[in-house]
Amino acid sequence: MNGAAAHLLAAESVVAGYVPDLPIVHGVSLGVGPGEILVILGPNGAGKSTLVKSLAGVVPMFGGRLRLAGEDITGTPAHRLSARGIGFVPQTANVFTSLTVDENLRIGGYLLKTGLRERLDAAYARFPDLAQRRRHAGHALSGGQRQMLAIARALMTAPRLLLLDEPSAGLSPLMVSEVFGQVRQIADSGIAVLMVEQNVKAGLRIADRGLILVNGRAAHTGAAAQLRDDPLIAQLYLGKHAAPVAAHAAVGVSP
Amino acid sequence: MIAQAIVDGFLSGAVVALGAIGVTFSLAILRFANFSHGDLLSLGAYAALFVLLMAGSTVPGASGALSTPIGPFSFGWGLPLAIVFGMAVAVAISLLLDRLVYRRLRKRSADPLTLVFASFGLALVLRNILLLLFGPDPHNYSSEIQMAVRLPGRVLVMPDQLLVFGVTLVVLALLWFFLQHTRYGIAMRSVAENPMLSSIAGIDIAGTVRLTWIVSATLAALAGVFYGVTVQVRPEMGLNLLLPLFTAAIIGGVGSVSGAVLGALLISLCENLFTLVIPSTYKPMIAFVLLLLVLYFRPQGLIAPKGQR
Repeated sequence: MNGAAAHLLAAESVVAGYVPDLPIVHGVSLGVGPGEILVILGPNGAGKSTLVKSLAGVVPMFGGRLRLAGEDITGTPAHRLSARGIGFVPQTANVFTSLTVDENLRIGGYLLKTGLRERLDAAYARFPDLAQRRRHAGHALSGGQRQMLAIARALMTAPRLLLLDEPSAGLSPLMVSEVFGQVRQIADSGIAVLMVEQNVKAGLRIADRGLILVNGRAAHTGAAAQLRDDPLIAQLYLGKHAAPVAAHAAVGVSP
Repeated sequence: MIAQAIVDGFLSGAVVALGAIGVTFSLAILRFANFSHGDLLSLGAYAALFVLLMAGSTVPGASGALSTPIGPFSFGWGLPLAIVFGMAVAVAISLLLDRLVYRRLRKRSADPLTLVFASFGLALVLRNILLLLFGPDPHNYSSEIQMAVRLPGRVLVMPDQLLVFGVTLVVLALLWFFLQHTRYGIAMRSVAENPMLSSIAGIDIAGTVRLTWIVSATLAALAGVFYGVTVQVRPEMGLNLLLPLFTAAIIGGVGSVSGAVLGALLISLCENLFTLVIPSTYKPMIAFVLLLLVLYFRPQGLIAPKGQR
């Protein structure tokens, strides 16, 4: 972890969960800078999703601090974070299925005072697949198209930080690489990306840095390449060896 | 006979449609069955009656202009004024009740059933306040006589009924445009489907809830006044309309405005057609039977918003 100054988003000791007495995330600190992809990895039930949801303001934070470009945004309600430059793509129910593609994107640009037309054009230029289906309802899209629409929706307000909760969930390997290709391009355009991922190999391949979450705590952080090549980490948290993970889980506070 | 029943069905369906839209909005966006919605119709109707009574009695000079019938209709220029006042009162009271009752319950994340019971209580309060202020006897907006218009097929309709139907069509067209093409309309539809995703996109849910009350109460007041114009104003009118309103919203498919309108027309048509062959005492039963049939054969409603929930 570098100094907080370089980070667009700096989270310090985040404690979060659904019920105050039962936090799921126990004091996680992280930072992500412009143009960088930070991938959050870890076993099932580690609190990855809860962590990203608390950053997005949809799960309450019981402790810790959030800074966006140096400004304190701790406790800002979800509907105000969009205006501050944070886009969030939830894992499930991330498009409005009863609305058309075009309406989904207009909702994404709800806060835009001007330039909605330009942002819509930019979204369709980035995702030509959606342009062909702009009059189609969300429920008529394939899984991959939905994920593209969800990302396009989050990009409508030109956020500085994009939070993604398992963008590869339920997608075919071909679609995963397409979605990840888009995510890399988004980061390369200068946006900070924080992504929760189940797919370890693919996640570490496109990420710059990784954070391994175990039982709601940051167990390891480091450059993606370093995490990818560390045999111990691979064996402990990321591989198919269930036993060490279970042993580790027994030590921690289980939710 | 049958032609007359069909035309009557369409004309009275307009009032039910305006009320049923509010019910479908509260089911889809506020997420509870608002049993006081019928009494919101009464409230609008009585607020309008108040304006007409005041105009007729206390302003002798103005009473001429306000109560002299316009053309073939039974009412004068006082009615548009009364409608605006009725809408304002209905909107103000529903925002007040949301603030005092429903918002507190939502903040404590109360069960939807708790909100339903709260609305039962508020319905009683509203109805009895109207009873206290205006008495149990029915009122008419106007005692003017109007000549029926003869349509082809020996169908007789009142000019008032035709105007009410025409205005309802215009209001429905405006509502459709609002929901399809304005950002607030699209926001209401998005909150109906997924409040969490809507707030991520920057939509203020509390603001959308207020907007929903405003739209529902405005339409309810209009429906109440239209009922007063074409039938009469009674303290229990809202209670009697409640079953048709809910049936229309449910058989149309919760959350679907066009479904609510279609449901309203269907109920009114059935009521008017079946009372040709069964005693009219059984009229309230017809909406109920329709509701049961739809719940049995097509529980999602006739026009269920696709892919929702």
